Amino acid sequence: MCIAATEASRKREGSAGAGASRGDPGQARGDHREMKGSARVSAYLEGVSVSGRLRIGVMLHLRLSLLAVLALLALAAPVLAAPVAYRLDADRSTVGFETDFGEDRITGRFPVAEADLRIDIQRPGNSRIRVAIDAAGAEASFPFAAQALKGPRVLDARRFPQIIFESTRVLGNPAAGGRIEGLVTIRGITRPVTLEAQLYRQDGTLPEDLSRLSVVLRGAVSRAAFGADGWADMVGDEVRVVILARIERAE
Amino acid sequence: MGLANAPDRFGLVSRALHWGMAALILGNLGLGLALMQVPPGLSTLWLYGLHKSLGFTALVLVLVRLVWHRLSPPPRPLPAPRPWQDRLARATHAALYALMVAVPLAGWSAASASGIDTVLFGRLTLPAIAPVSVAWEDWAALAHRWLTRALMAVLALHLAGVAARLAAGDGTFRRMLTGRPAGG
Ligand code: HEM
Ligand code: HEM
Repeated sequence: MCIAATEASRKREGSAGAGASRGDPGQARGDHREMKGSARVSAYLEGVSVSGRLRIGVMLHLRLSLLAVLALLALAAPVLAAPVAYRLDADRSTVGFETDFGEDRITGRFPVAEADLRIDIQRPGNSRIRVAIDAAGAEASFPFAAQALKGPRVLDARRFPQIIFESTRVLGNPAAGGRIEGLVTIRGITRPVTLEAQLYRQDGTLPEDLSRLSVVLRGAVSRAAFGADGWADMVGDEVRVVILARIERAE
Repeated sequence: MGLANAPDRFGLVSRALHWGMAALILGNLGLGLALMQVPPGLSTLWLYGLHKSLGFTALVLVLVRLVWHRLSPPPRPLPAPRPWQDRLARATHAALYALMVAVPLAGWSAASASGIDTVLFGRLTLPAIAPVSVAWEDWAALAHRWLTRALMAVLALHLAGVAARLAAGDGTFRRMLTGRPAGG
């Protein structure tokens, strides 16, 4: 029944940008979130279209489909008894951010430098992730913003070229909308942060295929908490982050 | 209508430089002060670019003016009723030159130290003349601020002198405006 639900979802992908299973109430909630989520992801990505490297059109066409969690669990249980290592597809992954600039908004993105991902679909609590973000490679919706961001008043990317996120606890089930608690290190200062997590099956994969997944993480940090508070009179303190990570099982 | 200066009169080049730069510098002083008031945002960012562009133009022109005055020395101030007034006039002009060089250099240093490109008229990117450092930026911005205040004070003196000469009717103002020698 659940497999049928995912099949149905795959058929819907063409019309609904973020096609998803409507198999059960829990999923329907996740589905709703996903709609909003991917609209926001695309908004972030559009904001950084200055970067020719990222073929946004392509990315938006690679629609995400929500995992049919229960089906997967049932199918995967015998196979996936322990955390499985995943490899990040860095070229198709992005860390988007957004902050206020007076009445306006600065958007941008960071490349992901490296990622160590161990994911246990069956017992998400056993999953661990560590991601290094390339602060020095930041891009923003206009060039001054990127330079200000990398400069000594904000990320000081010359001294601190990476932003590190390390999970400490995975709560709930990311496939249905979970949370990842962890520690983020910016400018050498480490603080706790909580990210909302959603796991999706990649477009074009079979429902029971867990070899390629997409993870969307959402959260926010205060610049002041990390001493990255330059131009506080002009630029907002809260930086909202949306991470889209496309991952493949490492084998 | 000579281009060059003579012992008793300002040529066209010096007068054009004086009035052109006077407009540029007074305008940029106003713009700089206004910058401190405007709400930041994408829609006001261009004002910073304009300020830096006009300021850098003034720096280039003062260097041209200094070179030109080496080649073609301007007339000395007309004799004032008291000798200290002559000395004050010369000291004021010297201070104005020093500040015309120092003010934009300090602004350029502050801009460089921020790590953000200084882009003139939306196209020309200036090289950095200071290391990227918060301390440098703060110091240079402070210097820029106090140098502009000194410039305003010295300019007040300059204009007071001009007003005094106008009141005395000694032809000083006219020779800078029209190039005609005083009494000629
Ligand atoms: C004739 C030349 C210039 C004049 C008269 C001038 C005047 C001013 C004034 C009055 C202010 C406000 C200072 C305050 O109240 O704090 C200011 C600020 C500023 N100027 Fe200039 N400026 C000149 C050239 C430049 C140049 C060439 C640059 C950079 C390339 C520059 C960059 C700046 C910057 C970045 C600020 C903001 C400083 C801050 O945030 O405290 N200025 N300028
Ligand atoms: C609109 C306001 C201004 C007026 C009415 C004015 C008027 C004059 C006059 C009448 C002279 C001739 C003095 C002489 O005959 O010896 C003069 C000279 C001079 N003025 Fe101004 N001035 C003004 C603004 C400025 C500004 C903004 C600056 C530069 C920051 C400046 C810099 C000088 C200098 C350096 C001289 C000496 C002559 C030279 O080297 O060109 N003036 N000014």
